[in-house]
Order: sequence, then structure tokens, then C-alpha cells
Amino acid sequence: MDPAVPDDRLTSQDLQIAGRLLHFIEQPPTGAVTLAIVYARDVPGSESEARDVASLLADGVAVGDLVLHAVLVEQHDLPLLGGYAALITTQGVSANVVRDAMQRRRVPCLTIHLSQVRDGGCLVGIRSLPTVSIHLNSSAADAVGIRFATAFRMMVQEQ
Amino acid sequence: MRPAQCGAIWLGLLLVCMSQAHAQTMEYGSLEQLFGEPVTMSATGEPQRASDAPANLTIITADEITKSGAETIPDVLRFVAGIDVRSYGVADSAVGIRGGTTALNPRVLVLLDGRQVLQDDYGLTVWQLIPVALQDIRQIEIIKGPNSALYGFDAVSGVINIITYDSLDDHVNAARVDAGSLNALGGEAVTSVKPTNAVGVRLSATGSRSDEYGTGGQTPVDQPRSGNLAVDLHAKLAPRLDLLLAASIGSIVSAYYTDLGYSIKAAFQANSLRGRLSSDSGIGLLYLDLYRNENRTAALTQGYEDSWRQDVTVLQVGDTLKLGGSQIVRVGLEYRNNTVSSGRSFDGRSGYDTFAASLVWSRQITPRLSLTQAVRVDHLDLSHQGAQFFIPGQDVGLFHDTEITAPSFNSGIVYKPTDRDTLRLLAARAVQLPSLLDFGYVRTATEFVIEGNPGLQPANVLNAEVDWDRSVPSLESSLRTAAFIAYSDRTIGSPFGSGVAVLPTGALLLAARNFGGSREIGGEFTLTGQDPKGLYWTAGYALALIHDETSGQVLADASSAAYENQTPTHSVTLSLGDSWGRFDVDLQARWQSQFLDYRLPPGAVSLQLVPVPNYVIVDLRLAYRLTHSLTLAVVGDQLDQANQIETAGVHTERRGFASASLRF
Repeated sequence: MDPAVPDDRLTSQDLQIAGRLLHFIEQPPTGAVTLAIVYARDVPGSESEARDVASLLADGVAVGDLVLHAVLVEQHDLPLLGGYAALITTQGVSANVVRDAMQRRRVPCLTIHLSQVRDGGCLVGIRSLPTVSIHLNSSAADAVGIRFATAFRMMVQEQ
Repeated sequence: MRPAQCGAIWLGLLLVCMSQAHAQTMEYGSLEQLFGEPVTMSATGEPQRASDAPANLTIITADEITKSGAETIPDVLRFVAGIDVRSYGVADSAVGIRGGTTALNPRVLVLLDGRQVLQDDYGLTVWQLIPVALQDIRQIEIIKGPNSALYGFDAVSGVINIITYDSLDDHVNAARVDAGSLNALGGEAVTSVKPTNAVGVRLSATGSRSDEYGTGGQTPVDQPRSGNLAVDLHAKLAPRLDLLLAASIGSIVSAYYTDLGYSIKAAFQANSLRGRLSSDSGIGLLYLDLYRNENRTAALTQGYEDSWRQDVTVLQVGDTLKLGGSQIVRVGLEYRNNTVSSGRSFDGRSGYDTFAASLVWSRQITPRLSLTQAVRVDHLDLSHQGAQFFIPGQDVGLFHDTEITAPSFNSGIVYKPTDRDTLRLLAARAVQLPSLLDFGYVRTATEFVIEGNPGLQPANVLNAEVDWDRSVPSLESSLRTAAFIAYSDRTIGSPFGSGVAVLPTGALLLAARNFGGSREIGGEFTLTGQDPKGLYWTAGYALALIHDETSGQVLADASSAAYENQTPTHSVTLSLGDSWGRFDVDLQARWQSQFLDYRLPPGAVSLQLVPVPNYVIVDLRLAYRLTHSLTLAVVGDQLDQANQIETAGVHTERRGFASASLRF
């Protein structure tokens, strides 16, 4: 693991995984894709984490046939936002707010905070180091009507 | 239920499930990029990361194939620890896994995208008859050790599954021409087109010719030559349903070393047709796979001409589904019709129908611990249509119907105690079936009688294994250690390779038979690494200690049943390479200890054991990437020796090649 990057920060390798796993959802996005980076203003460190993610995506990041872009959004403004293909949540974001957005927009939520996946507040937890690990909360995915390819589901840790 | 009815029901089920299905099935490329490592379905039939597979799995990637500089698949395989490759000629190689190597190797199941290319007639793989261009191979998956619970008979010492790029998901346009010593000339071309976003078509062609090793007349064919043509179509019939259609034709004329102890002039032809439907449905990954292989074999040795045709039709249906978050179940049914016919030999047609059912269950007990259990039962009905065969002086006919029911299993525990360590505990029972020739080949002449044996028993193999994988970041390497113990209860001897008896008439009798068992202890040790600048290395050592229970005296002229004699106990492999700008330098080397091969001296009636001393071979590839698409390379094979004794056949020779590869 790169000692310069705290393990509570999403890395560019994590972003590559995030982009590639979007291929395995039903009706995957293509071309230019916007990721909504969600933070909680009243949670210390949440906004700075979100800004770090946004900076990684500042010029757009190519992942396969996708080009990922970011839009920063405070969680309470999320219902007002549209046009994004996935959510990336930072620490302290409300599970209810994210679930509501996923259900309304039929988009997945991705995070490096595995506790959010365990709690059902986010669907997919990703880690690129020391090896790639992907955690999927399939109950939460079913609840918001987002389906992943069976082969993908068989290769990740489901709960 | 008849197989056709079964298939129709499954097809109906597939179509019904379309409405509930939702994505593509197995996309090797996308999954490999996601997980950062090769993925496979070869170990259990379910999609897996290579590091999670409950099997001793080695994957040779497309990049490694390119860097090997190999012209053929056996040339790629010979630098893998635990694989023995004997070069009997420029187009004749015998490939064994973990010892037990013979001139034919019926114990290694070879597949192309899951379709069997091991020929069941004689139990051999004619490598240059496999209709695939090297540049079209995504990866070669090698499972060391038995895997009958997934593949059925013959997956006894290992499985080699050659996985090609997908004609719809991957874009492959490539060509290569090469020329070299021994008047060698070869080439291959593959192109894929997508008429629509839902249809991909691929065409590939390969061809080669070369003078044979040795001086003219040392082997029965002076210039072996081969050619293959393959076409496949991948159509997405619906977002939820995929159809694969594939067809191939190929032929080769070559000297071919058999268990007779000498090279015969052989002409092989192979045609195949395949259709596969698969669906990612609401009830799992469903598939229906139907293929037919037609093989024509002609032995053209003067004074002993022979020919036969072998046809195998295979229907497989199955479903792989995930139950809850931690369990995966795969159920499969298989029907196989396998026949061989000849007017000269076999006295008509021999063959069998096989029905098999299999179940694989795997459970992720904790994030670091998984358990996989696979069981399979094969039932075989062997019969013969044609004239009865009698040994002169005997009044009991040879041919009779036979039924064989054989269970097999594979069990595996994969435990990852740390992020750097993976332990595998593996146990298996596998079944080797006699070949069609072993069952039913018959031939009579004044001086000899050759007969198969419908009463031959399959060989049951038990295997237990411990593997330990460890990443060593300080060396930028990974280490794999494997130790195994195996026991085969009865070895199958072919009619040509089981020794000679004398009949009361004075004629010689060559008959297929079962021999005693065989025990083996062995293992492999492999260190693989790569630094960020491109330097890579793989160093391997393999041990194979085999003891045949049948006496050495009996096995002295039983070439198909003597594993102890024919297995080098030690082998060391090394691959090393680096890149400087546009230049690549790749070196591969192998040392192996001595073994004994079999030869029939001119005029003799019994085989003779021939020592093959320990030897080293060194191959070198120098490549220059002229453009992004075009690479020029020179390859030297066996640079360390002008002539090398690798077998009891013709000596191999140092060779050089120049090649131009285009990929766009």
C-alpha cells in the first residue's frame, strides 16, 4: 500500500475499479459518465475526502470505454441533482439519503467505507490494495432495483 | 429420457428464462481488468479469480506466449514446471503433466474453449491439429492434478484448456509469418469483424511446413505440414442470451511416434462443429453446449496401412447459480456418443454412449476460507457392431457389450491466512477410461494378431495435495509450492504398448490389458516476479517420484504402461526477459534428469528401453517493435546444442527463425 495515501482515502486505482464495475450492472453506462461525490457537511473530514476524490477526476479519467467525471454534492442537495451514473459516498453520509437517491435514479452507490456497505447505506465497497476486493450488499441492491451480472456476483464478497 | 428430448427441454428453459435474465455471461477481458488478475472457469465451472480457484492452476497469458517466441503450443508448455514435453519431431510432441508421460499421453485432457481436442480413438492430442492461432489465445489454463469431477474421464493427470479471445467482446486482427532453418515456413492470421454491435465473427487460419529432424529417410515423412481453418460467430440474440457457433477443419501429415516404439507416417484430419447457448438468467448461468468432432486417422506405413474414423458428439447442459451470499451450486448433465469405425481394423464399429451427472458446491465460509466439493458419476455403455473377432485357435469371440459406472470427486479448501498467503488442500478421485483403440482395435496377419479388450477396466486415480502461494513484495515476486501424492490402481496398456506374447500358432499376440497400479510423490516450486521496469523472471523446479507396482521385467516392453521408466524425476525451468525501449530479450531454459524411452529396433519383435540422458535446452528471442502494430523477431531454439537426444526417436536440432508479427 502506498504509505502516502491514507487508507480512508479513495485512490486512483480504486477509481479504476469503480469505473470497471459499472460495466456489470444492468444497462451499463457508456461514454462520458458523471459520478456524484456525496459528502456530509457536518461530519469532519467528509468534505475534504470528497474534494480529494473530485480532484482525482478533475480532468476526467478514462476507464475502458468510459470517461469518468465528478460533481461534488452535499448530501442534503442530492435530491435536487440528476444526470449522474453512480454515487460515491464519503465518511458520515446518511444511509437514508443515499438509499433514496439510488432508488429514485436507479444508480449504484460505491464507497471505500465498508461499514456503509454492511449497513446497506451503499451497495458496493471497493479496495484495490493489497489486492482487489469488492463487497456487494445484494439485499440493498435488490431493494433499490439494481442488478449485477451473475458472473460478477459470483466473484465478489456478497452479504 | 433421450438426449435430444433433454436438450429440447433445456433449450425451452433457456428461452423462458430470457425474460428474467439481465446481463452477459462470462467476459474474461472485463473481469480480468476489474480484478487485476486472470479469471477462469476451468477449475470448477464457475467464474473465479485465478487466485481463488480450488485447484493447482497455472495461467499462461497472451503476453507470455508472445515472449516465449514459440511456434507451437507444446513449445509454450515445456517451460512450465511440472510439464514434460517430448519432441519426437518438428510436428510431433507428447505433453505430460506431473509424470506418467508416454508417447501418447491419454491422461492429459486438452480442450479448446472447453471443447475436447484430445482424440479418444488413440488417446492422444495432435497439437498442430488444434485449430487456433497463437495470437488468438487469451490464455492457456493448466490444471495440474485430476479434475474428473468437472470434466469426466481422462482428466487424470491434468487439464489444459486453451482460451481464445471472444469474437464479439474482443477485437483481434493479427497475422504472423515465420521462416527458419530446416526450410521451415509458417504463418497464421486471425481477423474479427462486427457486422453489428450484437454479432462478432472471427476467422483464423494457420499453416506450417518444415523439414523433419535428421537426415532424409530417418523418419517416414521428410517434410511434415499442417493447416487449419476456423470460423466462429458470437451473437447476442438478446441482451440476456448469447449464441456461439463454431466450425473448424484441419489436417496434418507427419511422422508420429506411437507406443509401437517407432514413427509411423500418419495423416490426421479433424473437423468440428459447435453450438453453444448461454444465458445469465434469473436462475443462474444457464448453458447448452452441443459439439461434434470428426477425426480421420490414416497410418501410411508401408506394409501396415490402416485408417479409421472417430466421431464424438457431446451434449452438455448446466446451470450455475449463487445461493444467498456465500454459496454457489453448479449442476450439469452430459451425454456423449463416441464411436470409431474401420473396415481394416475394429471389424466394424466400436463405441459407447456415456451419460453423466455432476454437482459442484462451493461455500465461502469466511472471507478468508472457502470449501468446494464436486462429484460426478459417469455411466458408459460400450458396444460393437460388426463381425465378431476370434483369436486363431480360440472359439470365444472378443467383442461383448460392457457397462462401466464410475464416480469421481474433487474437494478443495482454500484458506488465506494473510493478504500474502494462500493455502490449498486438495483431494480428488479421477477415472481414466481406456481409449477406443484399447477397447476394440483388432487386426490379424500371418505373423501377428493385435487385439483390444472390451473388458479393460478404467484406472482409478486418487490424489491428495497441499499448495502454498505466497507473495514476496521485497522480491517483487510470488512463490508457489505444491506437494502431492497420487495412486493409480491399475494402469491401462494399449494393444501396441503392452508387450508381446506368442500364440500356439506361432503368431505374435499384441493385446491390451490392465497392469498393476502406480504410486507417485511429487511437487513443484515456482518463483515468479516482475519489476516495474519490465524485467520478469520465472524459476521452477518439479519433482516426480513414481513407482510402478508391475515388475520392471513385465514393463520392459510395455511402453504405454511404464510410467516410472518414462518420467524424468527432476526438472528445472527458467524464463527471464527484459525490455529496453523497442527491444525485447527473452530467454527460456530447461534442464531435466534422465529417463527411459521405448524403441522397436529394426527387425526386433520386442521394444527396447533407450536411455535419454539429462539435458539442457536454451531458447532465446530477440524482438524489435518496429511500430505499434509490427514486431520483428528472431528466435533460436536449443541454442546450447546442435543435436539433442530428447526421446528414443530422431534427435532434435538447433533451429533459428525469423518472424514478422502484425497486430492491429
